[in-house]
Amino acid sequence: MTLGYSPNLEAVQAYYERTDVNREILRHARDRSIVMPHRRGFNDRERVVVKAAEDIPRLAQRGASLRLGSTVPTLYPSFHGSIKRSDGKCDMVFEIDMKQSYKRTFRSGSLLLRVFDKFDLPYLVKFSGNTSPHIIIPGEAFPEYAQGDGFPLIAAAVHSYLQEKTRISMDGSFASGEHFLRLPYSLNENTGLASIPIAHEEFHDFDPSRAEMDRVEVMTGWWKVTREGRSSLEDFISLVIGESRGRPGAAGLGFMEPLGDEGHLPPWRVAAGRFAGVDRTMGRDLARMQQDLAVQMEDLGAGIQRDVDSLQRRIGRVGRGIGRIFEYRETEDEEEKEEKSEEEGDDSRPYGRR
Amino acid sequence: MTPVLTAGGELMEALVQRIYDGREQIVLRDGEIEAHIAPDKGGRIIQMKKGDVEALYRLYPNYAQFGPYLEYGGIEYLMGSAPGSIYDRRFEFEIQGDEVRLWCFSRDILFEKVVTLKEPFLDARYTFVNLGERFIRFTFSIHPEIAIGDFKDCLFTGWSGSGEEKEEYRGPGNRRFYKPKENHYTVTNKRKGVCFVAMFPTDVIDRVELYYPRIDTHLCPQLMVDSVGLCPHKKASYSVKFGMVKPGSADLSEAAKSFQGSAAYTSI
Repeated sequence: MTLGYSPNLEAVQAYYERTDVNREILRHARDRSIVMPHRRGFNDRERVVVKAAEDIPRLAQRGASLRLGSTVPTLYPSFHGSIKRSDGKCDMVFEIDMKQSYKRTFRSGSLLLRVFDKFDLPYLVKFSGNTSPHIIIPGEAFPEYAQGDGFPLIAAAVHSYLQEKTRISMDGSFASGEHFLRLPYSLNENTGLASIPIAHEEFHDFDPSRAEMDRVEVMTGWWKVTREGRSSLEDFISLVIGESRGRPGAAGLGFMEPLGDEGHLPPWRVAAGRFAGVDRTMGRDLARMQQDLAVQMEDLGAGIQRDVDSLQRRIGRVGRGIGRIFEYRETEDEEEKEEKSEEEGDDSRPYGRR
Repeated sequence: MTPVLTAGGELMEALVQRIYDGREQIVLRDGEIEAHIAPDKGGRIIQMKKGDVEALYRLYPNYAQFGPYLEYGGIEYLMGSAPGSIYDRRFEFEIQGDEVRLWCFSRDILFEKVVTLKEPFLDARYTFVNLGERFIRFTFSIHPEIAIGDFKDCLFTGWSGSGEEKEEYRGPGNRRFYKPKENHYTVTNKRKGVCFVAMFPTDVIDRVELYYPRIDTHLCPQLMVDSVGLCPHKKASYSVKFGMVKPGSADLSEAAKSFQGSAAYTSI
């Protein structure tokens, strides 16, 4: 029962039962936290476990919201994965913050891609399923120091740098590894269009109707990172951090705003503000800083240990002193008892006279 | 009456006339059947007549107000959450040959309907064109307010998967729906000897909602499409037929057999 593009539950189920589709979703779901939005939108979401390809159609059937008596979902079953994976790697995601026109978001996106191409960055693009492209630098492409705890700082810096260079308004919440992104080939919960990968050469002529379920073709080998890409990204990160330090405020690294009032700043700017003292060749220096910090922590730890030992020794001494006082009192008590029992003829003393 | 001449110079039975309080209406007439369209109030079919018998409840050009909703009667079009964005919008129109084309915009959607009348059926083809640059999804329903003579004498008959859905007057506020299996329903007033028919494509209409409004003046068997989804620069269309026949007429069964409603979804 559809008019235009309004797939019903049966068609949705058939889509998620396609083995090429559900295997691909599974591939991207591995090592990530997965959630499915529910009736009241993304804030009402359920954490789900995806372990096998068969879980996808099963969860899809459960996750569709239907109006009473209707077969067309009001909210399509959709799978979102955390951008942080269980091994600590995070994907860096750029989403243009414009919902009114896919042409405008793609035009803005092409500016971003021009910068990425200039630096030979290893990026991938997929369609959100509504109006925007999701531009992704896979976690595998990042140097060690930019993963795990280092990620939010680097992501904040890169976002700010690109925003400064391109003047494009981007969704900054992706600087947090805890953020969720619709998995490739998942349906968009509002439109029912698939979040399909887009080849670089197809980006400029992208037509959203290509994401209609019956037109979806799985693109194999989409998620890949080359060694050159990794090395270009490392250089790019160094440049970003260098530029931001060379011209305070120019790259939007939080120098412009009063950092004391963090509540009013977007998270990447807050994070970036804390990042202000990092030196020009950021990659090496951050690693060095981390090493220094580790040494300092070790020193600090050793110092604390020494203090603890000394304290324990003191406590021991005090304890022994107290013990002796009690012993002395106990002896006095015993003597008193002894004297008393001798008077009363009681011979039940547990200990002999010291 | 002002006869309307087509570009070819033929005299048409589609006339622009002022029959209700000085406003401009379009009158379609073929044989005994007559349909009045009010472009200034959502392009609605404000009345259908077979001889002297009227099929629709009409307040137009007056109205009754229920909160933000103004009740004019006729066959309304509700786009989006009721009462929707176009139900009382002014429609542009043109008469070409034997058909009347009416249209209006709701944000980026161009809603167009093309109406022709060939006794005993009025054929309406609805087209939604997404001229914007983002995917749009909305609900759409056709809301005929039926009162053939005393509407309490009317018998509704439709067909769902579980068989015939017959319903006599049940009192104001009663509402139920069914998923249609057959491509039409009828509302019959035997005393008046008239049967109102709506024919629709079952692969487009999600639900038929049968409602007796609290105002207790008519019944409303609403044809509901739960979701019209349009990618940018694409259009969707389907057809519905309304007619007035004698109860048990062979016209109805023949027309129902051949009717498809031909839904389409194409690029513009």
